[in-house]
Amino acid sequence: MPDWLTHVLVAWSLCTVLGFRYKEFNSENTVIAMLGALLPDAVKIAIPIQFLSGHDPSTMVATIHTPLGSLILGAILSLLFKDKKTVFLFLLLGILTHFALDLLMSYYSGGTYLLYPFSWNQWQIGLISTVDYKISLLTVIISIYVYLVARIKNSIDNS
Amino acid sequence: MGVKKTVFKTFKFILKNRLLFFLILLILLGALSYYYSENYYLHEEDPSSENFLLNYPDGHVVSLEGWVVDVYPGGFKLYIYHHGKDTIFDVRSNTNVSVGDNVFVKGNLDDEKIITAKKVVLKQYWMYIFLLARSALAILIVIILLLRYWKFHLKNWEIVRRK
Repeated sequence: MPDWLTHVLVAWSLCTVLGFRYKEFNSENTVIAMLGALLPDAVKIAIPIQFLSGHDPSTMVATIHTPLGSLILGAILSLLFKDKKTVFLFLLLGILTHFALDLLMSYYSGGTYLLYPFSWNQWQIGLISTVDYKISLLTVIISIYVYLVARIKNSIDNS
Repeated sequence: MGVKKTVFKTFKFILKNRLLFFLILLILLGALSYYYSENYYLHEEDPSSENFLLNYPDGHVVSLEGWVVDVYPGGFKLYIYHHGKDTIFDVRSNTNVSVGDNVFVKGNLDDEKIITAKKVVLKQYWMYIFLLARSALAILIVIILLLRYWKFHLKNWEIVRRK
C-alpha cells in the first residue's frame, strides 16, 4: 500500500477538482472521502491488537482490505451519520481511490483481492514500491498545485 | 405482486432501522472474515509466514517478511514473527542489508531451513520510520478536519455537520 498521506491527498485532490464543477464536493464531504481513503487500511488494527494481546488477528480482519469488506465497513460507519446516504457515497469514493492506488503497487507476492469472495485472484500492476517516498512527494506537489488553483478560483469567484 | 411488495417493505424497514441494519452488516462482515481466515492459505501464491512456521515446506518457494537481526558475508539472519510464533532463519543473498531493516524474501527453502533468495525487497529502517511518520501525519490531518466540519450529536447518537 502507498502511505496514508498519499491516500488522503489523492482523495482530497480529486474531490477539490470535482468541487470546481459540482457543489456536492464541499469541504465536509471531502473529509469523508479522505476518511474513506483510509478505511481499507483499518485492517492495520491487527497490529496494536497483536501488540497488546500477543494474538495476531490479521487473517480475521484481512477481509476489510477487500472492496466488498471495505464497502460493508463503510456502510456500517455511515450509519453513525445523519446524512447516511451522502456519507456512504463519499466513503465509497475514498475507498475506490484507495484500491486504485493499491493496484499500482508492487507486492513481493500476490496483490489485492479485488473480487473476494467471488474470486481469490490477486491483482497488482507493480509500478510503485511500498516504501517509495517519491510517489508521496509527487502527490504532495500535485496537492499544492490543486490547492493554489482552488484559492485563485475562489478569489475570482468572490470578486 | 404481493410478495414483491412485502420484500420491498421489509427491505425498506431494514434500511430505516439503524440497529437492525448495523447488525446485518456486522454479521455479513463477520461471515466474510471467517470465510477468509478459513480459506486464504489455500489460495496463496507461495507458502506464507504462517504456513512456513507451521509446516516448513522444504524444497518449495516461500514468501516471507521479517526483520534483519544479523548480517554476514553472503547472507543474513531474518527474524520472523507470525501468530505468536517466532523464529530466525538464514537467507542466502548478496543484497546489501543492515540490522533493523524490514525485508521481504521470496526464495527456495532447503531441508536445512536455509532460504536461497530469488527476490529480496528491502525496506530500510529509516524508510520504514519515514513511512510511519507520513502515515501518522495523514491520520492527524483527517482527525483535525473531521472535528472541524463534523460533530457528534449525543442526544440522537449520530454525527452531524457543524454548519
